[in-house]
Amino acid sequence: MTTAVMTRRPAWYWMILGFSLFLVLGGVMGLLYAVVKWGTPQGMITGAAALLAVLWGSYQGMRAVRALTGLSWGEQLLHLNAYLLLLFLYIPIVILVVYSFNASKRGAVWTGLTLHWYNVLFHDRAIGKAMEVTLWVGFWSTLISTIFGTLAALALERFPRFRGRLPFDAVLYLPIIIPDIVMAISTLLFFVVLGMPLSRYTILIAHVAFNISYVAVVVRARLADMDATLEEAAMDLGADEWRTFRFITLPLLMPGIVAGALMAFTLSLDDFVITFFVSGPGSTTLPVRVYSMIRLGVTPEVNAISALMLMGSISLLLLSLALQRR
Amino acid sequence: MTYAVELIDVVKEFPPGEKGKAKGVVAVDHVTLRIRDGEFFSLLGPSGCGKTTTLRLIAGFETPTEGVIRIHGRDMTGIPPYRRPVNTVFQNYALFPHMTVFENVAFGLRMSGLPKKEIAQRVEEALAMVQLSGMEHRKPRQLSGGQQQRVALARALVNRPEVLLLDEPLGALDLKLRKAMQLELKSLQQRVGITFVYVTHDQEEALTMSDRIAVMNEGKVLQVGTPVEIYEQPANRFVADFIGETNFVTAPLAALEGNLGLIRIGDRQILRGAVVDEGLQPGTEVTLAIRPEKISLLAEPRDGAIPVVVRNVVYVGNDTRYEVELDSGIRLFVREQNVHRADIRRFTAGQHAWIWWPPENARILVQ
Amino acid sequence: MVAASRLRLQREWHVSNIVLQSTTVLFSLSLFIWAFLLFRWMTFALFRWTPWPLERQLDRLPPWAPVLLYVTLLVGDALILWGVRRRRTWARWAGLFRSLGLVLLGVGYYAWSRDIVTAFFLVGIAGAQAAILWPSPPWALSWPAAYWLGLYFMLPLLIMFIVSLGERSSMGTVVYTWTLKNYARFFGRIGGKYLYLLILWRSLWLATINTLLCLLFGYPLALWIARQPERKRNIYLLLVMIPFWTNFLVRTYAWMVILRDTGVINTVLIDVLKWTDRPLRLLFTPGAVFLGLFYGYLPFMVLPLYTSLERLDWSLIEAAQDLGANMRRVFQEVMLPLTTPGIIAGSILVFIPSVGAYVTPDLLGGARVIMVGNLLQQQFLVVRDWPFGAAVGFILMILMLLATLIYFRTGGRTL
Repeated sequence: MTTAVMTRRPAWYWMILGFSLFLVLGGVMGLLYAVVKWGTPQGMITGAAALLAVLWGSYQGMRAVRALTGLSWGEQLLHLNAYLLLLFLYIPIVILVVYSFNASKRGAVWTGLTLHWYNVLFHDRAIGKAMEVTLWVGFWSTLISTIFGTLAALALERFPRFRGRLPFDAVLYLPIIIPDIVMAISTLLFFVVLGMPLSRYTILIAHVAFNISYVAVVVRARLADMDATLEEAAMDLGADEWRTFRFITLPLLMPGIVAGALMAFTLSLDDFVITFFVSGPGSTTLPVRVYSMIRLGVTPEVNAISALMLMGSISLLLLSLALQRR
Repeated sequence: MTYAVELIDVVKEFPPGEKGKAKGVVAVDHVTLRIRDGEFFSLLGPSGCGKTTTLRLIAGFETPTEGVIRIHGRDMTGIPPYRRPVNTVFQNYALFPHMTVFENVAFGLRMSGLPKKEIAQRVEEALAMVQLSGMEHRKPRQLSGGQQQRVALARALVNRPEVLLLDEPLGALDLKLRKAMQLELKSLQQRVGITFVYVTHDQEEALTMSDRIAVMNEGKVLQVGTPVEIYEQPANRFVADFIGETNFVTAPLAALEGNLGLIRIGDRQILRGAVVDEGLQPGTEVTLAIRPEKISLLAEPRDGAIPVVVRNVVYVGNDTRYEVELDSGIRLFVREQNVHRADIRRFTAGQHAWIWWPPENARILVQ
Repeated sequence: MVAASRLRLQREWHVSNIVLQSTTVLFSLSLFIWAFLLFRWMTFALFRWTPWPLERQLDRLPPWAPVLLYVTLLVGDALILWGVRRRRTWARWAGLFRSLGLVLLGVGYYAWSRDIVTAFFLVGIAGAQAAILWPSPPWALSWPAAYWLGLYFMLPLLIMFIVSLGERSSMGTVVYTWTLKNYARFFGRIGGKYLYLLILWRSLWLATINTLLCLLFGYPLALWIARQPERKRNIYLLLVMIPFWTNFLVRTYAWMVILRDTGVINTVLIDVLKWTDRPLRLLFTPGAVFLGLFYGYLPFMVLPLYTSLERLDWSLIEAAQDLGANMRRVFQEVMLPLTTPGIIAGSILVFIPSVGAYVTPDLLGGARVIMVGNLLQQQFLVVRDWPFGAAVGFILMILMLLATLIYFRTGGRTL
């Protein structure tokens, strides 16, 4: 008898699960309908019914899952929360990428697949110029801030006590803590007061200022993990200070430096707010250019450039992870 | 005569704030050591006694606050570690994780600018010496603890240093491996003929391997001598206590009989022992030190024997430990070897017995 | 314990020997700079370099003069490096003297050319070399970052404060009148309403709610990821890191594509379901701003939380359960205290940019000023009342510093 119950049960609960999924999805649609028809009688009635359907459906669904897999209510909520949040994080991104291939010029109606907008992009000279400035600023700010940030990290980690260490440590953290809009306006004021014309150099200066902090934080973490007796061992074996640095310290520190550099490069490519304030005419970066395009209106061309920037960020992230794993 | 390593009146003081203490710390306190050429010399002491700091002073990682360090007669003041004719085997081995075994061992030779061919040959020899041939292309983390230890040894020895410094190199190994490595290290040292300066807190290790031992505590050298001297004739209470097991009886010195001293406990019991310090006056507070295995436990009284009551009997395999109580309430440990089966429990708790030792086996030490 | 004391033991040796190491690094760097400048100058015709400000100025001189300048600097640095590496005293004094000369050269160059960037650069090089020859290795290592941050980060903040004490002239320029009027205006009533305080209040309120919501949803997500098997964990972690690394502007824009009147949702409602013919107003509402903030900063909360949860020793939780704690108690007594550093780091990373958010309210909230970020942008780029804008910025900065200090006090840890 018990075996008969055992064999019947899963099928039974699968049915309940299917039904409750149907209820929840229907209920969500109903709620949407209620929002559209807000204030009208049919809207209110549908809304109330839909709400009931969602609540009861999810309750029954979770009971079924519990019977099928033995997951407790808390664990089920944990799973549900995670899947829904991941969906929430990715739906807009996916929609953006998909719509960059939409043939329609206006609106969200799908009219066919095309690479036209990417083609338009590649012939847009303003975009090309902005791209050039972005990469130029990104390269130089990464180079400078990586060197400076690494040196600062060495000073703070290798010398636990020196005059001015505490204020230096604090100032190094400040750019991470202060809202970027404050940094943007203060830097703008600085350039204006000193009479420095806004150009790609002013962008570079501001980018290095915030990147140093991030590089220093990343490299410091790596340095703190490093075994300092290795340097002693090298000296013991006849390597002088320079060779110790060259053959031991630097190679061991390299993953941290590379991670810091990639982070700096990404931050530089992505920064909008600070660049927006300190960029002059003729020296806009890609995000600033995209911003002004957005202000003019949503176009498939912006979708395409956004999709490309997305791909750029993802490849940089993967590159950074791959380098750190080595 | 020139020594391999000479430390003359060396002081190392860490300024306040360092070592996590508000007051300054004197890690090495007026230490004078003369280490002979080709010797296996151990620095023995509890943790924090300054033995590692002494080693680091010789290696050049620390600069002495006062005093002179000479290696083969050459003054090492102001000479950085990379220009000293010494190499170190570190406690945690400090193998370079980003280099292979070959590159690790070759590092020192590369730094001294030898031709590639000779480097390869010498690395091969060194690895063969520590039985690691064929492991050249592994990374340190792919090796076991014992293998890493051998790589560290090969990396130091391949440079043919005048002195090899070893900072508790066997500390991270398990007991069995440690025993095997002790013998191996000793025979290796005899083969290569290099002076070894060996830091350890393990007295047994020091006694097994060393030609001479320096016992250190609180930054001071308490005694320097061969293992036999250190064990049989400890110069003071700390050494006697730290090396092996010792009974201590503290009382005023009653009388002197040649080089023997008498101390009186209670009214009639007299203990005898050899006097270490010359010119000791009767009446000074002294400590008599006697090792448990040097005491004979007798069933019958004899001349000079002291009556006791057996309080505790513990069987520990190759010998039996007795705790005996004198009339005055002082308790001593006695160790009897279990040669015959009948020896195992010659006495039982509560039994009356006598203890006796040849007076020269006990030592009378100044407080 | 052992490692820490070893590190301390080591310190003295590093201080005495690292001097040469850093001298070599820093001087090699400056040698490289002079050599590169010389190389550029010699090959301008060949490679058609884009001239730097310095080179544009030097063009006013006869062509041999810059060559002479670069060669002098190059040879001087090389000589000093050679001498210092041999621990010669003359090299140290020559180097210190030359640093002073370089500062004077920088000042003179500025007076001659008004090219302040290059002048700053020359003074920076001089400072670095002086610090290493002094000799203070930590100063030499800190100098480049400290100089750059001092000059281009701290000084601007000071200037912002000074400007905030001035007034706007009718031309839109700044008049330095040393008044607190701007602050009074911010905290005072305008037309019977505390207009600006209200904006600040709204920003703080939105940011607080956003931080709490991110924590409420982010903590379970981080926990869920941390409890996955190793392989899956890395994949899910990557899924959270991708939005973290993606351009904020792009991610905000994605919501415009979805929410606007002709966006994805409205198209579905009107053209597919045909429930209505009038689009729902979704974009340019406070709700949209809120959604954007939550979407934008959720990964900033999840990643630090994940780091602290991953480090959590799960046997502690089993031990707590073994000792009779139920799930609620386990969370309260074990997980929460042990993950506090992650919660604090995540909250700072969400709260501070949320208060100062500019892109989100601007793009998703429409043209209306609803957050401090917009107010600042409006004062600076539209109204051009810079003194007032600077005052607002200064107040915002002080508030954020206070918030961070309080956070650190309660948590007592670093980011």
